Amino acid sequence: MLRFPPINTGARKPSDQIETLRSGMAPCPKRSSGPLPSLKKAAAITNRDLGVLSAEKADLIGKVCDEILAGKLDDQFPLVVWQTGSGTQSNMNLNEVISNRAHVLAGGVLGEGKSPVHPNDDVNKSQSSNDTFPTAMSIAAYKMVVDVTIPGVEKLRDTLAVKLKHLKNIVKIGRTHLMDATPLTLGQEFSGYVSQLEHGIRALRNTLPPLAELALGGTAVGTGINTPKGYSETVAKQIAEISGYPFVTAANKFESLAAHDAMVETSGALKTLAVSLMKIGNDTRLLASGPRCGIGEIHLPENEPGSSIMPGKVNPTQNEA
Amino acid sequence: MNRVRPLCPAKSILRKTRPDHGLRTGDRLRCCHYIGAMQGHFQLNVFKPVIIYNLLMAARLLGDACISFNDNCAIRIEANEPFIKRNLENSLMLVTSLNTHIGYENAAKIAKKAHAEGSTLREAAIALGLLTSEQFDEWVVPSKMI
Repeated sequence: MLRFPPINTGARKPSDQIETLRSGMAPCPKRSSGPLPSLKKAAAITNRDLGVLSAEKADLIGKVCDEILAGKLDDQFPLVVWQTGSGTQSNMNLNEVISNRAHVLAGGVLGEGKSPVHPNDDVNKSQSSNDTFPTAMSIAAYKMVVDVTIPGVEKLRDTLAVKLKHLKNIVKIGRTHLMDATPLTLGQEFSGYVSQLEHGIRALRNTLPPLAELALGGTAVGTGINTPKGYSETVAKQIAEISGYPFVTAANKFESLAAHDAMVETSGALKTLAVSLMKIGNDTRLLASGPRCGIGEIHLPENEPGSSIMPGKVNPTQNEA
Repeated sequence: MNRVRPLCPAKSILRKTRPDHGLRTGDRLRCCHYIGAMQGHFQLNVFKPVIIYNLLMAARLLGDACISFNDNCAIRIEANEPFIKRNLENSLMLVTSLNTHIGYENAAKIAKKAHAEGSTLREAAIALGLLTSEQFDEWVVPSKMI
């Protein structure tokens, strides 16, 4: 197992961490899908370009990171979310796996001899868990919002926007306090949902610039101790290039290590969106209630039987979900 | 037939009553990452794994939920026009369009009479002598109330 470092590297054994942190719940996301390997590769390239890491070591680190990103070493990362709050155990787990795998790629035998790549001095060069972990957090959060959340909401928004054009001439009764009120069109009713989703998307996009600010280069407390000149800006550019997203170095590393206000802001926008989706889900299932004894003003697709005892019953499962 | 008793008449454009009961929200939104984000001390926040775990879960869940709702429901929503027409024509709140012609109080009398007797707005309005059938057709047009 790559987790156990060669005896004479002096590195702490991740097995100790695994024993103290075993909980059976909430495993960390697979490394192949996470940003930490990309970050380690970017850091190695930057350290090489700034003259503090040899090209040979940077190359070995990069190769192992590529293997991890391809999913070849997923079984080497057993830690759970319930670990030290700085993420040091996850960071060191990765450092040690990269070091040990580099040793094997360089022709060594695991457990024998010294790896050409030291987990702390080389893989973790110019870094601290205190800046690598929050950097990984920023990258992961940004990508999730841009690649998953916003496209999902946009797809629903577009469907409802097209739907309302077909419904714009259907005059129906409005309801306030669930009681009969004055008329509106079904298209107007759906336009409210589209507007909610548009506001939600805009609010989420507004949180992206702060989320794109990376802590890397702050090292232990934000001062950047043990980094070469120009490291923060260069490594952020490298990460932006590798990932294809507009990451930049954080202007204030003390804030980016000690606070996660950007994530709180994103979380706030997600909650607003969740509230909007509850409204849309509730409205559509109430409008579809019936088929004989409810409001029954819209039909929902009949996806599956809704009851194990009542034949023919269909429930609004998608709205509930 | 069960009807909601008028506990508190609402003085508004609509002259109707609303049920006087409390609303409870069933939402239980996550707050783990808010609590975690509050726990920065001096130079380091030490709730990082739990913050990002919950944030990623929330972001993924919302995106996936929208796709599922879109693909399995929203794209195939259709109007049930016979039910819509029936509800619209039955509604007593169409009386709102009479406010500007006969006044709020007279319009309220029509709505209350129709509600008490189970009749239509037209029948109640004519029985009260407040307008003619032709005036009703001219003034109560749902498509002009949107």
